[in-house]
Amino acid sequence: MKEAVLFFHRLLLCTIFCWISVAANAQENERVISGKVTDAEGGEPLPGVNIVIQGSNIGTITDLDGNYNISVTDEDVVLIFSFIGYATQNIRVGNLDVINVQLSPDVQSLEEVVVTGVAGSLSKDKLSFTVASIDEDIIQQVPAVNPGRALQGKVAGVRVSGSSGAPGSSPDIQLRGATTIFGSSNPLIIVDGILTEGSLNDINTEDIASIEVVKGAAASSLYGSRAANGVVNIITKRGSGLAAGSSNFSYRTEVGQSFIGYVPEKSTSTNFLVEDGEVLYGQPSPDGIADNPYPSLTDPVDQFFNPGFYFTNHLSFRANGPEGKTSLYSSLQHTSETGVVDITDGQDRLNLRINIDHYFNDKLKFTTSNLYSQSDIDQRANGIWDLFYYADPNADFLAPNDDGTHYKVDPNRLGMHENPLYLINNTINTQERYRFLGHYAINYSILDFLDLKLAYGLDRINIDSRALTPKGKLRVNNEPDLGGISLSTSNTFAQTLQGDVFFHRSFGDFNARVNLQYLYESNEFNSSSGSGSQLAVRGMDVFNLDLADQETISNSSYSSLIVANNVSGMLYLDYKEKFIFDGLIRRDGVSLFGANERWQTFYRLSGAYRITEDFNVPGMDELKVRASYGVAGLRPPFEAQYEVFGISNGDLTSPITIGNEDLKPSFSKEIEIGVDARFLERFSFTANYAKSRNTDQILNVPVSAGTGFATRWENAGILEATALEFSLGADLIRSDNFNWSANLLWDRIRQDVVSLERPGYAIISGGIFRIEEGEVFGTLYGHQWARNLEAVANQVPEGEVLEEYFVLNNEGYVVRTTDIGTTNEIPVKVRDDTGNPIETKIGDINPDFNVNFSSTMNYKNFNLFFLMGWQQGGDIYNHMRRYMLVHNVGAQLDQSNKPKNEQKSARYYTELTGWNNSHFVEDATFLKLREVALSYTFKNGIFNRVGIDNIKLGVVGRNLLTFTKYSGFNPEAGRSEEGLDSNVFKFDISSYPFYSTISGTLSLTF
Amino acid sequence: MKSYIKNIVAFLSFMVMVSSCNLFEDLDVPNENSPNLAQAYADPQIYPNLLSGSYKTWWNESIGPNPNLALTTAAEIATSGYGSWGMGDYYKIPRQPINNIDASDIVLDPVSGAWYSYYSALSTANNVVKEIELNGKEVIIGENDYTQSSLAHAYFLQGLLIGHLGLLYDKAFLITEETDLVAFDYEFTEYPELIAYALEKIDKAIAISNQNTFTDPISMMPGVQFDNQSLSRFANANAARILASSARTLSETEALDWGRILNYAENGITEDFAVDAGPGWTGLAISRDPYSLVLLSGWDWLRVNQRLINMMAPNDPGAQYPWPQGVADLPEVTSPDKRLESDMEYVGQHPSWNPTSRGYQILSSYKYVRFFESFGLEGIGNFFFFLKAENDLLEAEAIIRTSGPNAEAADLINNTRVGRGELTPLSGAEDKEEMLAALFYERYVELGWTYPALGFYDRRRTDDLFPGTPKQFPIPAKELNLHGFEIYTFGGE
Repeated sequence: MKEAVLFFHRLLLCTIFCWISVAANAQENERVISGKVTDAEGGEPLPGVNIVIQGSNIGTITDLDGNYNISVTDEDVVLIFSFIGYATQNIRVGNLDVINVQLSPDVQSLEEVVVTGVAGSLSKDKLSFTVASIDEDIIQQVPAVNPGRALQGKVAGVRVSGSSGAPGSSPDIQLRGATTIFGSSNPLIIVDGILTEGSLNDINTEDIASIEVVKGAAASSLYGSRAANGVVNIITKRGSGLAAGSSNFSYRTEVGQSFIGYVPEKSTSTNFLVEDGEVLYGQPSPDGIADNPYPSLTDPVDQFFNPGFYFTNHLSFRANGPEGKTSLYSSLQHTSETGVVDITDGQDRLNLRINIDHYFNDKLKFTTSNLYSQSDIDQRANGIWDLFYYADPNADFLAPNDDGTHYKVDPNRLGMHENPLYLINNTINTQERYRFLGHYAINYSILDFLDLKLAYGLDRINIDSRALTPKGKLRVNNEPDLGGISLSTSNTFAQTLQGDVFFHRSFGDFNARVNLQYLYESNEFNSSSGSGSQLAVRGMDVFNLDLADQETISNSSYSSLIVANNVSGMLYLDYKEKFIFDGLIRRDGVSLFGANERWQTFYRLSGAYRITEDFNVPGMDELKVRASYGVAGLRPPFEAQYEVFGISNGDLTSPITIGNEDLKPSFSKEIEIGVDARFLERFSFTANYAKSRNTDQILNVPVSAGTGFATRWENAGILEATALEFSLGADLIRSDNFNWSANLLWDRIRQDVVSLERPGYAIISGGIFRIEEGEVFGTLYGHQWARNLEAVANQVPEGEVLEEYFVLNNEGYVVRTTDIGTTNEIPVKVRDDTGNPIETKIGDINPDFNVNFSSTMNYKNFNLFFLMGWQQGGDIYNHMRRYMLVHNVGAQLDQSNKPKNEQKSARYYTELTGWNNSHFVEDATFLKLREVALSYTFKNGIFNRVGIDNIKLGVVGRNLLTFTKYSGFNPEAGRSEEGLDSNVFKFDISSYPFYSTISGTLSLTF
Repeated sequence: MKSYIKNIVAFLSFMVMVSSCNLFEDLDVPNENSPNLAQAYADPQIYPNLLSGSYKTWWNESIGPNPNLALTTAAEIATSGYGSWGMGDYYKIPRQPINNIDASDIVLDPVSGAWYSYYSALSTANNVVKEIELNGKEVIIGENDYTQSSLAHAYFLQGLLIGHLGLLYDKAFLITEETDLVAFDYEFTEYPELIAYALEKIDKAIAISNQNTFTDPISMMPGVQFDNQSLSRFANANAARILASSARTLSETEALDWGRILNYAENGITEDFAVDAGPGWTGLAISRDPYSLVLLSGWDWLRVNQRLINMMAPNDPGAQYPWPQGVADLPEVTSPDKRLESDMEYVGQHPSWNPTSRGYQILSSYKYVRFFESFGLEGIGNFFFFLKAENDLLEAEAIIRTSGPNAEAADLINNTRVGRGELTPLSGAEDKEEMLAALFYERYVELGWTYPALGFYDRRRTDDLFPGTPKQFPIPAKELNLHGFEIYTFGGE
């Protein structure tokens, strides 16, 4: 509350301050400059040319005859004349009243400007490292509910996946491979200058003007110890893009349905006897083979999945004041996304945005961006997937209970598993999220070559969760539950204060830019939770923890504060805009670093040479080679540096972690070498080779039990990632009626643990991923089923002959010769000489390569966009397939369609279900149609007469098709337990699947 | 110029405005979530609370799923069709060597659970002894001096924890209040020395309790507020349990100082010891999985091993042991022992257990329902950890092994044999073998769902474990790796 009061206090002061400045401004002396703008080659007048006073947003445009008028205040004013396809000209007014201008066509008209990781803003042609950008026209084709998904397939080297596809869930984003063994590889997300702390799910895509992606330390070092994972900079729309004195409304709505595409199959037959249309549970058929068809089967798509409603509304208003001094962008967005599980409500989100720019005069500018977001998320379907997977193939979820209530609680006979629909229908599990993002900046151009900037940013997140199992809800054994409640709340309040000095000036053939920056960060977090059971009352609408039996109540709370002081200096220097040098240094003082290592240094050195400035290469519009070396970091978790004594339920229990005053951030040291080219006036090409050495990995290292402590956080390893990326963009066809542009991305990423200053260890599912010095990061370990006779030579009893004792069966597994074709036939594991199965490498998640292809076609008023993704190779562990076999429901159990001599007994498959083994490693190769949009724009006609500029009608599809041999829901699924990166840990276990959506869209601009 | 001044004023006002709140914090941020060791031991008044925390860790480990489920299923007291917490590796036939690898989640690895939990609890006991004995701290709360009671508990915990490590592992680090952890050479101490050290410490606790009069300022465990007498009795009972259970073979059992055990047992508990286990006290595998064997029985994850059913009704067709191959279901059993009806419930075939891959030895038709009312289905309530019956049986065994069978020993066995099982009473005239057989029958049938590792220790010390079952744990591979020691294992045919 204190923070909220302070915020409004500041806002009020700011408003008063604005009014004082505006009043003072009204007394300036003005004169009018006029003139005509023409084409330098043909001499024709150019209508619609933008004329802006440098350093301000004050401007005008030329009329149909190329004429303009503009008011200026003094002789030093510089007018900037810009027009698409022409080279921009800057002209000082001096004492002239009439200025006629001839603009020359610009072959570099594809030039783009970026703002992330550079001093102010910089043309991409002058970058000496990679900053990829995704423009509005691509982002807005298929606006994702979560902007993280909007990155997928649009930048080479970017991986976007997650452990859940539930409405309201947020994906894990990985830029150019993993930089950290422990924890997330999610990049730093900046939204309009705010260094954000929370989920991307609170931000709506419709407001986004562009996204800049800075992939590795070679480019991201400006952001110091927060930037080893790269930076995603989201820039939202502003009113200043409009011509002075104009405004517009735009409205977009999307209505559609979500549906599940593929559902993993279950066995249609059982190994129990079936007689007279009844399965005789408990009476296995003598041959032990599951080839007795179930008398009836249920259709899970029909019973459990329900095509959910998908609905978004976005209304925005943009305006630029009469003199272009004050501009506004505001929007209201509502999304309702039910998901695909019957009964559940999914996510409902409301977002409000207000972005304002105000020029007090031509030197002083105030900008602000504000987002308020509020979501309600129904989480009942998040934790029920085991129950869905394990359910009998003939379980009837829709049958009533004995007492007449819906959804029979125990529909299964093969196992005691609750009906997931009963659980959903009879429990509550919700999350409410509130978020405020605000950024307030003042820019002061003291001199032509010197700017000051001061900015304050805040990110406020409040999340409330509550869950209720009401008293009297049936348990799977039909006994009434005693009921339980759990409540939790968390608050994050992150603030930044940033001061910048920009210096930019030319000295002869040299152009220099210097940026000095001070950045203060603080992040306060606190959470509390409580739970209890054995409730005093029944019903679904009571949430008072006092209703629980006092003996069952358990509470916990947590708080943390992170403080950082960062200073940086950056120099950009070019010679004739062809030899480019860039260097920066940043010092971070961060409370998370151990007391002896509190200040750390990060830096970047880079250079580029624009070959085409010196040599005329036929057909080549721009050719640049560049190299960059940068160091960025990642901060340790809050408690890592402290000695911690465990607490639980009111007791000091035992020591947990030994403190470490020497704990440093981990460092990502990346070298990037690349080529950028534009050729034949319609192609652009970028190639990158990047190698990062990620040192001082922050790991929770076990210590001897004798110390009484369990672990100590240490800098204890090096992870290397190597990436090769190519992207090719092409304007394949440009004509009056038909335009076609396309983008092709290719990347290959390799990652290895090259050093580990602790014994190797294994994680997830009791240790299926092995972290070992010299091992590929993302290596699956487990028991190996023998597929050749040599592998089992040490298992042949004395006096027996290998080739006679063992044989390969029709599935390629080694089995005992005497058992093949019998119910005793079981596969054989590779074992050591003492008889223990050998833990060995059974897979590698790293794909051979990834390819993404997007295409935008315009024919007259039709627009067709699609985005496809292809992953070649890479393994995934299908733990869910294992569990389905364990519970006797997996499709592999089904022998009914096999010839007799190929049938295997149920025992054969249960043998295969041993923990973590090679049988469940699958190839994750896929081809996906991720996004499709088809639209038609009505530009003329009767709509104009009612004030509507244009109407666009379209159809949008998300995640529509997947071609893969993978037997689970999604070959991109991953596991992110304890914050691990699901892009690395490709382990598929029960979670809400990623579903498809098809919807119709209507957009109006008026 | 005027414009410059105005702009500078405006810029500075913005600067002042945004930084006017108490934005700037120091880089030295304290951790407000938990104290460090220095903070924890600075105030002697909280030593009883710290000792309670040490009991809590010992308690949760001792009733939790790891390693107890592996031990109770390996010892054929309970059975399960699941492989969780390493059970699957211990009830396999033929028995396998322990897969002692540094690859797994230590929560799932039976070898690691007790190793990490007991040492973390031990550090508190050592520190309290150090603060009181070596640094002269006094525990004064209000008007009362709790120094001696705190010291008694700290010594008892030292003995209890090192003792339990000595029961489970072939060797361990002997960390005491005098150990300098920085200079410690990580030499191992063999289990007989560990047990000897443990008993020496428990003896100190008993001596302090016998020489002083006190009542603890707090409940060390929920529902358990010791005074000097009850602490002395509980310490004696545990000393008897630890010493008797420490033998790895029958010959080691016979060589134990049964006179000492008799003395402990005679001064042991006189009523059942239970903890009123609410949240936080319901068992843990190191840091998670708060499931005790009683709760898991309630969930039907654990059942009564067919071996026990067979002991209670050797000739009943439903009590065939080993469970016949290829048979999914066996009929209900009739036994002269009333505990088959009162403590166990026939529930027929388990819907999920799959004998075809795990073996038919996992099957059972009986749930253990004895403690459902006191603790069972909700996993909270009175957890009976040390029954008076166990103390009686230890005393009876010590009498038999020191003086031979007699009526006193028979009476002690009859307490439950007749009192609960309604079986024919022993007279004391039976021979030693017969008496011991009846005594161990009671230990298995009566005590199986209390301290879950008990059945394993009993079968170990009578050379009765299923062939190939590991008799003790090796040092966990994770610990061996840390010091560069070679990894070794036990078990297997």
